[in-house]
Amino acid sequence: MKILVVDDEQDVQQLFEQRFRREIKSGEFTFAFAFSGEQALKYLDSHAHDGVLILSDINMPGMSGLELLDQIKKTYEKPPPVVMMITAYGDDENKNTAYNLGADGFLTKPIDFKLLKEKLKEIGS
Amino acid sequence: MKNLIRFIAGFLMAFDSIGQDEVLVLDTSKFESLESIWLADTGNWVFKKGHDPAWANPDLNTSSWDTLRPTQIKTEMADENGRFEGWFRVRIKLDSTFEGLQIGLMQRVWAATDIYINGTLFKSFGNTGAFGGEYESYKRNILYPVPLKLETGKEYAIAIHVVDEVAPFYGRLKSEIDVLRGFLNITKPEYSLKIYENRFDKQLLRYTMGINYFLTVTIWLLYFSNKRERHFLFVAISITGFSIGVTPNFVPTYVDISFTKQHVLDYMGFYSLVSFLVLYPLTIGAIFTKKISKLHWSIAIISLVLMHISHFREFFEAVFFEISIALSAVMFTIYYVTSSSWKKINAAKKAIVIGLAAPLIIAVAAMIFLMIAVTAFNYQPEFGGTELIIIMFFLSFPISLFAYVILWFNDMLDQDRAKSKSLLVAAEEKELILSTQKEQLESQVEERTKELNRSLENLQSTQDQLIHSEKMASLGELTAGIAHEIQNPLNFVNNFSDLNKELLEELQEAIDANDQEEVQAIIKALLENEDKVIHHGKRAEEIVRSMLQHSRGGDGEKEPTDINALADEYLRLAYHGLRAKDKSFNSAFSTELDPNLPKIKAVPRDIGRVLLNLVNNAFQAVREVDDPQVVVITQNKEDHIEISVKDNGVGIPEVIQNKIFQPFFTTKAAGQGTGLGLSMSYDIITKGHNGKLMVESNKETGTVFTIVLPPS
Repeated sequence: MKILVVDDEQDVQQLFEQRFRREIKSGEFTFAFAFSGEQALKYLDSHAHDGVLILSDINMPGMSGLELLDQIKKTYEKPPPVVMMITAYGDDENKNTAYNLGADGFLTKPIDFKLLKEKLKEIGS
Repeated sequence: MKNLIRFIAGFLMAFDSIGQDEVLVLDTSKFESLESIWLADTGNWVFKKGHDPAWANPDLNTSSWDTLRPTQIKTEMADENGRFEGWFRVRIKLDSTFEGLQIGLMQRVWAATDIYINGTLFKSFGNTGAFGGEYESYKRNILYPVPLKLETGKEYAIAIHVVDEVAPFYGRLKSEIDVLRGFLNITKPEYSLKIYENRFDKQLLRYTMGINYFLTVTIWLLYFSNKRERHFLFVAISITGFSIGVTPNFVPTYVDISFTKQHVLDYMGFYSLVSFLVLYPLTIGAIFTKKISKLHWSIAIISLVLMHISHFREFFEAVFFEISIALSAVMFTIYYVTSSSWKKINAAKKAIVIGLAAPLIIAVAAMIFLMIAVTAFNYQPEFGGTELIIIMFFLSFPISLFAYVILWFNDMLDQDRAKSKSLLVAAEEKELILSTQKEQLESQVEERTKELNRSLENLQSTQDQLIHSEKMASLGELTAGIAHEIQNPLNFVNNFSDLNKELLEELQEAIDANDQEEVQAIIKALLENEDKVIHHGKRAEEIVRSMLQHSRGGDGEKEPTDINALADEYLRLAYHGLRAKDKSFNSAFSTELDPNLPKIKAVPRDIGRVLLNLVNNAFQAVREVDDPQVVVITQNKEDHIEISVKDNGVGIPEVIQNKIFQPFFTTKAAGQGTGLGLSMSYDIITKGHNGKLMVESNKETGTVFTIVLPPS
């Protein structure tokens, strides 16, 4: 399964690669990283049919995660990619907005990687 | 109709002519008023129009002549050129009562006459032209009789050649304008005495006039020295009109004066009197109501018209109509004005009322007296007898006006005295009050000063508090941003530590399994992760450090500062702070930092505060625009560095651009901002760092705040 992680913090890449090193080794998950909403859209443009799962931070300069979500859900209708939102501010407003825009999951920072792994495996199977 | 009258007149004349030869026998009982026999109005006079020197002949047969007395001369008898010429004749005889009596003959009309006694020229009055020379009317003001010597018991034929002319303006014969009764008088010697008496009276009048003139001049002087008192002007004009008006009444009495001059004087006098009369209502108005109403003007004009008409009429006819009406109108005005405000008016005004009313009442009384005398007792007004009335008339008006002026000044003086007295009292009272108030004031001032000092202290501490709360407010703005900023590194620290724990466990397993390759790989990962832990730990530490720095008091010291780092840091802090507070907020932000920017000596906390403030404002400004962008730019100029905070927001209205650096100026709602942010920033840059803080803004492109700092 291909997973696109969108976050303005670049160290997220190392973190994810370490956390999921076994899954990467075994080829269960493939990770791609984008450090802004714009980059993410660009990536999706060229990998539209790869069946990407998107993990996006909400709080980013420029295009926010929610805007990205909106764009993705509007642009890629068939089949819509799975998009999970991650935010430091786990408030209800953000959550509701995310779900209204069609988010498939909602995670709060700090990320519980065990839970994330389970969810990803659930979706992947 | 005219013919009928002529016929009757002619018949009567013819009838009268029957006795034309009868001699008029005169005795001394015929002397009437003024010691005169009014010859023209008595006896059997005959008249013939035209001129013939032969008509002086005592033996002339006058049976064809008309019976006509000189008193019956009419303007209609004049020819088309206005000339009247004819001869009167009468026969007289003095009886024995005249024995030894020195008599005289005099004429009191303007007509020119040659008087013949028994065919001999006795005296010429004026010039008839019969003996050459131009016609000249007799200057009849010369009131001296010509001595006449007639024997008693002897019959004399008196023939008078008379020439007269119609006077311009009047349209009447000069003689007719006069009282024709005075055509020819025989006078007793006492007549001269009468003249002197009269002359004495006239002198009395002259003194009266002197007084009038004096008062006139005085009142004019008073007016010129008190021009604000407009009523003085009316008083002055009135009295002047009056004085000029009455002057001709006696001036020509002894003077050899021509008809024209006399009547010019008469006209002058008449119209002066009229103007005086007309000024009556105006004067009254000016004095009593301070305003001349339409009523006053109307009455003045009506009086003027009536008086003008009256002058062309027989005096005694006019008295009954025009003059009476005019006088009544004027008296009505006086009555109307004064009766409505009699109680309110002061003594001065009462004086003027009495003064104005008195001559009128006297005049009216005199006129009524004259009318009764003329109509009932056939009294012929002559000089003498009326002088007292005239003097009263002449004097009452000016004296009352003068009394008015004097009383008015008295009033004014009284008022002034009362005023100054009350002023003095008031001044004394004031002084007393002032001295007591002074002490009170002094203690009040002292107290107030204490209060002011207290409030000044309060103010200073309040200001300190305000500055502190501004710092706290910006700290509050920072907190959320800081929380977010710290959260991320902490997450990394936690995550990588967590991860390392797992890796260490795996490492143990690998050592136990003696898998050297795996051991090496894990150690490499561990080291990498540990780097991240250290990096993010330091990052968090740095954030906390700057937060502490920001909130610390004012003992910041200048140190070499990396402005680029500061700009980047605070831009991010501000952004995340706003995001934390308001989830819906978003904006692009970027930096254009000059890599060659030198470190400069500055207080990082203070510059950070300024940047935070400017960036916060910029983010606020772009809230409503479509493509919000905030850029922080640093530039190294030759002799200074520039930090610009640029937004594409709504701009600052020009009217408030010069106010934004003032303390407590804020566009935010009450309680939302302290209004100190920019003013503190301004102070930090200009006073703290010897720099400049400028703003450029317009609606289209947004706002740029530029900090100029000198190099260290």
